[in-house]
Amino acid sequence: MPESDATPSQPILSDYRHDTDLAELVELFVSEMPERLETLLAAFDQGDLERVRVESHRLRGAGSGYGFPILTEAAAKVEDGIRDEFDATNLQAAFDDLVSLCQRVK
Amino acid sequence: MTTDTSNPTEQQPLIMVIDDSLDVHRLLRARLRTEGLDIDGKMTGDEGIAAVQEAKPSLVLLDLDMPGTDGFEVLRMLKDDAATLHIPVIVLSGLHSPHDKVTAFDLGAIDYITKPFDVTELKVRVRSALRIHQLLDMLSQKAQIDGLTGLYNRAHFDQRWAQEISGSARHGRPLSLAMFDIDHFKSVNDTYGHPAGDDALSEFATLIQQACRENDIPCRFGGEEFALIMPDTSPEDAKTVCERIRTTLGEKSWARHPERKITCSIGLAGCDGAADTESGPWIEATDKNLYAAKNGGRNQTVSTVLPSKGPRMAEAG
Repeated sequence: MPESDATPSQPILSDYRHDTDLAELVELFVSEMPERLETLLAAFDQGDLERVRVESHRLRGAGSGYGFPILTEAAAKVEDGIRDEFDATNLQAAFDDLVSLCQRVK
Repeated sequence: MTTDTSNPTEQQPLIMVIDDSLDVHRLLRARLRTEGLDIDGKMTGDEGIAAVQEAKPSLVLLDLDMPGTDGFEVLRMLKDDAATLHIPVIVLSGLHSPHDKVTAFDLGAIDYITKPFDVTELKVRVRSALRIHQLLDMLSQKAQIDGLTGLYNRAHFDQRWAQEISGSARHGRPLSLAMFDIDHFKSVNDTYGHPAGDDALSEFATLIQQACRENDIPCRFGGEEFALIMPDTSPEDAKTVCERIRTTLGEKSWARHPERKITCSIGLAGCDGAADTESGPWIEATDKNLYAAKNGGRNQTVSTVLPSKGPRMAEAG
């Protein structure tokens, strides 16, 4: 995903931010994001790839649901990368992309 | 199979969501909020199975990819259990391979939604599954109703009678069973034709239905024979009900044959407390009394008090 490089600090807004059914849930998701990110980073630092895979799997499932399809795509790359045993460089790149997106979710 | 008298259509259908992701629970609740449903959920397969067995929801939304007992296993277990077999399951999964879908359908899933789900598709598929469930319920209920008289049929009788006996044995409640047979029914048929015979059957059925109490279970047992299960009713009280039915029938005038009255003979057997007689012998005792009523000159009730387990219960009236 080159997009994260192109607009590094641009916030990513939910497709559903005006959806009355979901607006509140999107806020909750965004507010809980720092905690999720911390778990994700800690697991990666410890080399606990299974934990990274599970967390990515959850983000993959949740992203589109909350109106962030771009997050689903990035999380899918990490999850598939771990499952298909990507080499370290490719996995690192996919992971960095995901982290950057998570930081910009607003 | 629902055989109780409560009306499930009065309540909102219950949907059980089984998914290990809290996000999915939240999103589904939000997306289905306006659908008029009760939504409950569990985060693991094992908890989900227990909850479905307990709550008997109208629909299960099931994730496939869960740690521990996964969705395939949950589906297998729900479909292996007669009590949950008929509950429709929509599989909700991020696994997209055709093989997974085929496996899910083979295991008995009614539908398949891939995550991330499209909101409109989700709602439409949920509605459709609920509609199918409702129709199946109605069909299974219809299959238990006699076409001519509208009373419960023999299949329902067999099932219900077994339940009532075990309920009486367990809770020490009185229980009575009556068999009704129209006197000289063949001659009504032969003299006035089969439409007159059918009229006699269906009007007698209506009369039984009107004369019995709310909790009684009137059934067409076969031919011109009817059965009335009377839960919580001692043989003595049951006899009052039977006599009311018998005299009402005897007094009824018939449009097709004003000159000819119709009567019935009744066999009755019941117990005052915890039932201590098996289903078969109980029906035989009732039948024997019916036979005695016929031999005794028809248009009468013959009854027997069957033994109860343990001390005889105090009885009112």
